[in-house]
Amino acid sequence: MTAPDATGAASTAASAATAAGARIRRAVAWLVLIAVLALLPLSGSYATGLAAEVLIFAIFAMSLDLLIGYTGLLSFGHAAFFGVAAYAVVILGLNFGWSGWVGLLVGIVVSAAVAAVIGFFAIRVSGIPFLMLTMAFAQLLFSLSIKWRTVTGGTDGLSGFQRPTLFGISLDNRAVQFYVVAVGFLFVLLFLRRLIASPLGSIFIGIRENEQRMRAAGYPVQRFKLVAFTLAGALAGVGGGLYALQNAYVSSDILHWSLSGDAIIMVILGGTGTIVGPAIGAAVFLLLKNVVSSHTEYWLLWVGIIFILCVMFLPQGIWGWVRQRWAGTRA
Amino acid sequence: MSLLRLDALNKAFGNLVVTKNVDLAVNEGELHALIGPNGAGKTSLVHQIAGQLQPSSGRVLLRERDITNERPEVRCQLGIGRTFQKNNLFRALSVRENVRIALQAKRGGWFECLRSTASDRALLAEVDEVLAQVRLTERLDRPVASLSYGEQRQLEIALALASKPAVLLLDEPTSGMSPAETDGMMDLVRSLPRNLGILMIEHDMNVVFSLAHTITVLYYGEVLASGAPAAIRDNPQVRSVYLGLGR
Amino acid sequence: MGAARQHSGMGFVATQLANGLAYGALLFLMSAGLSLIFGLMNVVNVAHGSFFMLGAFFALAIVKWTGSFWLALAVSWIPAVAIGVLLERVFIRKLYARGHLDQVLLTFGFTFVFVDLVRMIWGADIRELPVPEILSGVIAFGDVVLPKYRLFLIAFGGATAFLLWLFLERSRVGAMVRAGVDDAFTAKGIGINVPLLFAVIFGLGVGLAAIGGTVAGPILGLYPGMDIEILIPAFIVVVIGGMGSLRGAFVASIFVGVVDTFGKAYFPDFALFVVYLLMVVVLLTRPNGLFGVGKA
Repeated sequence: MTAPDATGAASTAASAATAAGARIRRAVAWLVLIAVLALLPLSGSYATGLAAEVLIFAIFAMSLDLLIGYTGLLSFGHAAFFGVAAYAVVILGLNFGWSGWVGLLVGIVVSAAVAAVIGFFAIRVSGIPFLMLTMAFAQLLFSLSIKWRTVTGGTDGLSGFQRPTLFGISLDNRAVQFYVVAVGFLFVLLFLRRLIASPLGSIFIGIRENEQRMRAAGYPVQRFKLVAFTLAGALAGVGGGLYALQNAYVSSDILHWSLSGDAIIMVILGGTGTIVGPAIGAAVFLLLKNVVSSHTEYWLLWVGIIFILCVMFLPQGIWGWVRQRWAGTRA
Repeated sequence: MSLLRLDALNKAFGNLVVTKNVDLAVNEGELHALIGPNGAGKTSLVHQIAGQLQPSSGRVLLRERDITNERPEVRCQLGIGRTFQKNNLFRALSVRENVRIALQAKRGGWFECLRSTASDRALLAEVDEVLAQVRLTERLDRPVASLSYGEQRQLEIALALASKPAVLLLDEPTSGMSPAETDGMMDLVRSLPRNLGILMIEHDMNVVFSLAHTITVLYYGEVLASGAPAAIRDNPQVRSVYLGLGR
Repeated sequence: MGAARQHSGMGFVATQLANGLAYGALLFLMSAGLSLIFGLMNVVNVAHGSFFMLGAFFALAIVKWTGSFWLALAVSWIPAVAIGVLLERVFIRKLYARGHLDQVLLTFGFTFVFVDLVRMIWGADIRELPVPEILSGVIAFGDVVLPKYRLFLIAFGGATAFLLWLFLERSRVGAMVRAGVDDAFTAKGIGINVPLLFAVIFGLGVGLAAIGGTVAGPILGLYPGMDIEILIPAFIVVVIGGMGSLRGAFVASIFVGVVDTFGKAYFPDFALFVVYLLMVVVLLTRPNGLFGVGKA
């Protein structure tokens, strides 16, 4: 895993030139991304819907990478924060008539709060016990959502949610739905980029690289793990809220640990410790799922095989591999 | 009042006693060397001072303040800086980034999440100052893993200094170094701020007798002798323990 | 696990206790292997449940061909162990240096592969493994009526625990295992063939899981999702007992088996809740589990 280095060399003219070159490349990349996203709805309803799903899960995966790739915490319960936000949007909309926009904000806050509570307990342990604890807490929420049918609709779920409007146009419009999701994605992407380059981000990286050294340097590591956990939960909540707006439906499936497992696969496939990697992983995973399951009912087998090959031969993920090649071909 | 004081420190793992009733003091401006054969418990002692290990009984006092139950990060904030026997750095990060992270711990602004670390010019300038102090001036943007062993040892000290410590714990700073590198390290230690209290574990007797104001000899976890270098050199017990190694 | 719903004091409690201990026996067969593999090889095998499932389905195949449950019990573990050793040799071996995260991910990937393979070959419906004649029915102890098969499971689990203990404490190979658990590096230094030992231990671990699957067949029912159904409680047992500790696995298996069964009997709505809660409480008070040694 290569760590983005914030203390760039800026003293010599040559390095100033490469810095400027890097800035231009970045700007171009952003423009291309925005252009693609702006034009995507032209490709038809199916592609737009799929693209929205990809972006939503990209947010989910990127938020998880804040834990796996940046703080070194392997959580198996991330679906909890995704699902809680989705439920918040739908429940508040159905029972109190609250607009989806308000629900989205509330959902993010609730996700962050749940993450803070779960994180407070989970970070007392590490490794496998941490994995099991996060999974256990998420499963508890899952069980709750199934039992508490009156509120959550159980396995049948809650439908009938009214999507809000944006500038007078209802989000029932596929294209508008997509643009909302796309904006959410860009926001999360931008936030993560700034976070990783910031003092707080460097602390997360430090904890991943050498926790003992961070303590010896004076950082209260446990506090920062909790901050990372809460932030990751809040970002997952953005994804969950957008999921609710997109689908106008939620069921207890959204809290199942298999969703947490899917997120882990996306992160690893794409590349941990890179901001864009998990988004790529989400795209690859969902596209694969769509393609494979239209040809065979045994798509788990193929996902498994590809995942195994990735872990064995491409541990840095697809994006990590691309970046390495990139770095190798430049002077 | 001494800067650092150990009061009847004991540490046992089951039946294995690594620290036995150790009293030790380091004063401001003093370089206190800790010597003893392998397995004498020197590093374990430093772990107990810095907080990586909890003693079974006894106290660790910083300016007479009891820090025995404090976590490593708190002890660092209170003024204890340390190097590790085996290089304990952020290997994948650059040299500058290593020091910047350590300096940032004292600077604050931990929770800023939207400002780029590259924009803090003052901090970056300080990074280079600290690195200059430990005689590291080249290839500062290369990952630590690409540094030579000796350079990594220097970086260890840089990280410790970045914490602006009052007490500096050096664990075998010259281990694995060539004679030239060792001389360089000795110069470095001599150039450290005068008001630091330094506790230094060392095996190289040349280094010890050149630099130390006080020497404590540890043997099987116990203090065998403690005092001025000349007294230690002439101490018969110490000579027998260090047969062939002393002067 | 079906619970006999006679809420008549003694009889009810005794039945639940028997069910709980029988479940505990299954959990022990799973967790013992997990703990051995972690304790000796420092490997986390998330695919452990898959071997439980494979053992059960291989037993099903053998019973279909020969009609004999006992034959199935005797040999169903062989193909499972073969697959396991292959897995260790070809894949896991390459990840020893890479640490737990990559092992978890790799074995997690294999769970997908195994579960779909089983689905391909045997379909998704729940299959039955018939209880052998001798073990069907109940034994009555006064008022208390206990199913014979449950008692068989308890005895089987206990016997396995005893044999395992004997093997580790009293045999030469066992001594090598304990040396390897203690310090694989030094063990290699004194001439122990550590790679071979690793293969043996991994084989033994998954073999236990496969046997567990075989004996669980008659009461659990066979279906592609049974790997995860047993894996999660097994990991909970290992985490509660302490990773790498066989004694911890034994104690925690009984504990979790009984608590889970009684939990399901008295609070059927909150079945898994109780066990998860148990794990949370244990981990927060003793992060290394009850008997854990804290190998990170």
